[in-house]
Amino acid sequence: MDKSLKYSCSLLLLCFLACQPLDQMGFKGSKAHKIARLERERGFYHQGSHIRQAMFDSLILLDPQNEYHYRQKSVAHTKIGDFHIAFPLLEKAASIDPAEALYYYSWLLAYFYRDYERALQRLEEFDALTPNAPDIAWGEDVRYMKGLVYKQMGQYENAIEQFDLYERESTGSIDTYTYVYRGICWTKLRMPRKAIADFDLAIKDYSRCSMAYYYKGVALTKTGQKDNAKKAFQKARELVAKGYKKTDAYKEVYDEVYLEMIDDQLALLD
Amino acid sequence: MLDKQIRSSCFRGLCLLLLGLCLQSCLSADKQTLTEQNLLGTWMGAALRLDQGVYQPFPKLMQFGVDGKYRESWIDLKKADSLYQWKLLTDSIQVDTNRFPRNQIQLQSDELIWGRYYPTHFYRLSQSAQLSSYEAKDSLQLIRPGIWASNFDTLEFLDGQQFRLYKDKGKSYDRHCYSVKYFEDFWFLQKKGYPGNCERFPHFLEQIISADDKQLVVKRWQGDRLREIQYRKLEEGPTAQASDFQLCNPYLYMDYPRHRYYAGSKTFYQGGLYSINKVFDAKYVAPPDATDSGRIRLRFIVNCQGESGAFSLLCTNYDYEVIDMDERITSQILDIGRSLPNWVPSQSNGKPIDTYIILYFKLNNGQITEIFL
Repeated sequence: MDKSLKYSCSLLLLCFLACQPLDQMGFKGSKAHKIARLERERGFYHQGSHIRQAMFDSLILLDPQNEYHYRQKSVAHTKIGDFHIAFPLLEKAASIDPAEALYYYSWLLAYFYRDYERALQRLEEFDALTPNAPDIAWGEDVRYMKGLVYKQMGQYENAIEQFDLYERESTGSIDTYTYVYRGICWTKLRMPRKAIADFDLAIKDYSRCSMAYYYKGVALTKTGQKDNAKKAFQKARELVAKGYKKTDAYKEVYDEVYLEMIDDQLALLD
Repeated sequence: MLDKQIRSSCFRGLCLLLLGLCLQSCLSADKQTLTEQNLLGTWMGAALRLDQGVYQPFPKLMQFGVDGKYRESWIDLKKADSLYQWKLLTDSIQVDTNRFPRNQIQLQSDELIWGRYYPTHFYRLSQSAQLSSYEAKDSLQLIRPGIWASNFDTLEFLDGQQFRLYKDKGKSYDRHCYSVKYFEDFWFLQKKGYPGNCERFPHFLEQIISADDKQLVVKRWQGDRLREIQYRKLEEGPTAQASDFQLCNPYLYMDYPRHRYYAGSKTFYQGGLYSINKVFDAKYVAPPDATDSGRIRLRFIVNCQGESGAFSLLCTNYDYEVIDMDERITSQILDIGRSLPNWVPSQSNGKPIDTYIILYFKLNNGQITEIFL
């Protein structure tokens, strides 16, 4: 080959390499460096951004045994209802590191997915990871959550058992809604007096608990105490109208109370 | 001999490819150096990149003056102009007391890309010869009533600063407002608004390049870049009806959290699930022979006026695998979902906004066992 052609080609190659950023060619930065950079940069993009999601894909490729990347990638899909995309990611995360993944995933199944059978299974799995120690899933006591899930499944005795366990064994303060939801279970089991006792406990704990007043009204109606029921509904109405009600930005809470519900109950009593 | 020729041809081909790559990479890396001189002028905010291939309007004008004066003006958003001092430092551009790192600002010819993660594309404005002597008092005459078509859209300017934007191949139209604005010898067409409100949700800002009875030329962000768009006047327009459902914010983006039901004050249904359940209890009838079980996701938009539209439906089994379901079930879910009349839109800064929202249904043998959101 002609020598000048060789020189020309070498020069061209040199120019080409000189114009490329080093890290783009993969010459710069270790794997750990790349992971750290992606971890840092993804935070600058909003949740759900395709750029951020692509970064999670890269992180998964670089570090496939890190459950965090799968779990974090799933969040945006869950929030927009793409459960069919989020679910396999969450399952993968749970298979890699159950302790980390289930802290979030078991809570998510109960509240967001309303997948009660799976939620119960995953809550028990999470609970069993640390026997004899109370577990908290995404900030909520696992026994309280199991109680809620049983309630949603219509297994009211099991729900009450879990709420009791939580009340008896908790070392901290008890969530007021433990009494409200246990009261709802007693009402479903046609034991309105036990229900009323629980709603009163909730009201004693939190005097603006509109949910306790509403469901107390329902229980009182079942005992035939129409006047007291009416007073409870009116109190619930007054509180809800002022904005005192249990809500959540992302979802409807279990047994959420609305003015329309209260008005319907009051209409039935008139 | 033949082998040698083939080898030589291959080698030449390789060299050419290498040369092409070299030129491409060097050209793409050729960003202009930021100097005071090449920043001078008036820059139009064409678009902000919200995500890969997703852009939002950014109707801001920036003016870098020779005397270190910086002026910032938001076109037609009722914000007062901001006047500051600017200077170029070794590592940043300083505007007032804010410093913007140089490595997050790119200058390529007349395009200024400002910011790294959510870059805003600005374009240096150049004077239109035709409009240089145009009198401000004639501003509205720049836009002639009638139907105008470009390669990208067809619209109809009406009296009263309203216009129709045709969609669905001319079968329907959305209603918006427009105004003509003048700034430092430049003319702009600002489209925005929705029926009943002409003040909110600006579209991409458009610089008017030329306008007469037969042709209108504007420069605006279209797709993924600034383009010069030529409209020609049509004698007749499509026979269309006002659309059943119109977004207040035409740039609503599902993958942006601020465009979802939980943004702001939260989008909700009057009476919540209690009321929704009542409607479905009254209207939904499970087909007697249905065997379908699983979940249905009904995703849609509640616009700033509380109207719902853009419905989409996805069915999965209880293992979250996408499946088909009996059309007698899905059509009912869709129709009843569409009929829900009492949505309350979320508010941001005290004003209603469009958001995506989702209703979930759990079914056993065609019977709805739970609705939630």
